Amino acid sequence: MTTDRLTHRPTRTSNVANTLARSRLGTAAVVFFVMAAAAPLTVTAGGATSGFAITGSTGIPIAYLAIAAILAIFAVGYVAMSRHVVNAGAFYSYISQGLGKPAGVAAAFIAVLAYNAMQIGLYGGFGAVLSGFLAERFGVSVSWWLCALAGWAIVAVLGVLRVDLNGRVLAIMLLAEIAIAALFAVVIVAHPAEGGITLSTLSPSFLLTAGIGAALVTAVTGFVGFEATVVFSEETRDPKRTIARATYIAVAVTGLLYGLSAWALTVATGPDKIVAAAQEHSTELIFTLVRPHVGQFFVDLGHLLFITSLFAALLSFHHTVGRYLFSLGREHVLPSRLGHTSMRTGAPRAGSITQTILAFGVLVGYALAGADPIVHLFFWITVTGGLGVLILMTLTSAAVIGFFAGDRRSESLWHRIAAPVIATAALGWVLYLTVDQFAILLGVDPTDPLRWAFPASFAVAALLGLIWAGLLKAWRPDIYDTIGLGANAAPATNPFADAVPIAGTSRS
Amino acid sequence: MLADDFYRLSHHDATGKPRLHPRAIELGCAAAILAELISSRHIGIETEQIQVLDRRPPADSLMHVILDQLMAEVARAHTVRTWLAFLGQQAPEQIAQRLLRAGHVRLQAQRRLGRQVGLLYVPVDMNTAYAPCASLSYRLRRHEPLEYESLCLAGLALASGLDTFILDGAPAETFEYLNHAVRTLWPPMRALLFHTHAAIGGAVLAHRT
Repeated sequence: MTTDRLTHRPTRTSNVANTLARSRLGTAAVVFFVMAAAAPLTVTAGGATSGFAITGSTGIPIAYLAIAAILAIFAVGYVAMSRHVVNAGAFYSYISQGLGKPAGVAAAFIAVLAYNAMQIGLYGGFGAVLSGFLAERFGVSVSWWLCALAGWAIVAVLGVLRVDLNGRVLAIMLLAEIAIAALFAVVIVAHPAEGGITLSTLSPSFLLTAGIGAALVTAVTGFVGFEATVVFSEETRDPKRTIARATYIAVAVTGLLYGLSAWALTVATGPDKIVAAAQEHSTELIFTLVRPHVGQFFVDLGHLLFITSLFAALLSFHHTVGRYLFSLGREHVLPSRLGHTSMRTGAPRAGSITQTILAFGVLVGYALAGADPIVHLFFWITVTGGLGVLILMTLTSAAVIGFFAGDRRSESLWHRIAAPVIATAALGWVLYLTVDQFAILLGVDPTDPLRWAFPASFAVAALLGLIWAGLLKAWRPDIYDTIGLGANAAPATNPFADAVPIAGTSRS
Repeated sequence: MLADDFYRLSHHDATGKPRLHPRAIELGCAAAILAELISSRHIGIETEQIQVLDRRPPADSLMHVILDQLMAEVARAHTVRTWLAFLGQQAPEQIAQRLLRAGHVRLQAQRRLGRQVGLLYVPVDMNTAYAPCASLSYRLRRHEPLEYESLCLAGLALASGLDTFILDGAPAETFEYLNHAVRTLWPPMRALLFHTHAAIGGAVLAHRT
């Protein structure tokens, strides 16, 4: 066979394309990846009940559904932009391309703070639930922070070794979690409190009541993680459709699951008693409600899945933070040491270790202060993380408008302008309500300084980001020019680029 | 040969186990194969795409196979990143087979808990296997000028993240020297290494379970 004949013959199929297509992801795979990280049982058993207890709002169920609707609209523009920005999906690269580089660096700082808060807050839930389970079932009394530190140690090791939980194990766990959450919901709806089944907590009128901001941000916190779909855009069979479909499915499934199981809780206790019941039983509420009807086996199974789902979420957010620090280090926005990876495993080692140290510091601080793991760590810190992600989503939504303003890139009006404008307005409104009602969210007095301290931490992070962007522009214009472009287009960060060597450049 | 040396560099000299994570090995080996074809001026790289410059078959059978694959789909204008991903699926195995044919490695079953889990290509002679690493390390640390072939190998090492292994414990100036040296490579090689570095970095970010 001569090579000439090979090249001149019109080839019908491409060997390269076919071979690569085999290893690509379909919609179902992407949905599994992001939902496993979202860990549904963490939200239905932990987030929703703490939400009722601490905010005192009975509107939590409708809040989940409302946020799902808003995020679906947000996803329209977000996914449209992901088709044009080749980057592994960090919010900050979208914001820097849509709203300018200073905003991008500010967003990066907010993101690092927010995702760290999400991860570290989860240790509170993990420690408290595990220690409660050990005490109840085995009669072993271990303090929550010892359990949390045990989880921390495992996450620290898995983070550096990059041993992810196996995809199939995660998928089975996810399905089991959804099944058990659905089972519990059905069981408690079948045994309503006096007054029968009422839909009152799903009434949209709650969205206009006073304390709803706190409920809304609690709901946002439950959805954090769905934004990761776009990370896989380069690895899917059909990037145009797969990512969009996977994102909508993830939002719809989680939204319905969260909304309906939170509603089921209110049916079982009666809408007027849910807050009191949640305050009494905390994260045990759902298990207390189903115990008389399903027997001990399912309650234990539920507990175990609750603990594993918390752990999966911990590990997943740990990887998220590690990746964020890695990509910022690689673009030299943060010290380039953070861009180092482990040679043997490819784990973003420096980023992972940084996160681990931070988490250790916070855990020790909480243990020494004797603070409550559920209220002060799990709920306070994760909803603060949720607030940060809400800020990022609002900015990203605005960035989509900015990005398509200059060049429509053959996207429709709905994708470019209409949906992003609606999403920006809705997310902005939720953000305003949240900050306005942060005292309710924390369950503290409106004059308490903490009420401002938590939201202000993001303002400080954003300000530091803006200052840092200014310094980069003055000192390292080569790095400043490539902020948010990702490594594909970032000459300053690739040692093989054609850029003229700049005096005093350190690339060690 | 360049790909052989990269394979030796990226695998342990005594056990034959990889020193890098699987994606870096795959992309690095694919890049090493393409680098050989660039060096023999069979292919070039222009604006993210591979051009076939010389259709005459190379003497080496592996290079012949790869060039055939490149020529068969030259009209489809795949990007360098696509080619790296495609060739990477087989590149480590192909280079190992070439080393096996030349008698540099032998096959050994890899066992874990008494079960065979795979095959390892174990170097026959440790000194030959370690030579590329030793030579690069020695000369880079003394800031000696490198000739073309070694410079390409140094570039591949830097792109795949092996630089920290070769220059373990070296002062920052040595890394600086390596960075400076690879910038003097000719444009097609630098373009290849640019895409290799970016692809391996991307693999870290898009890692999935």
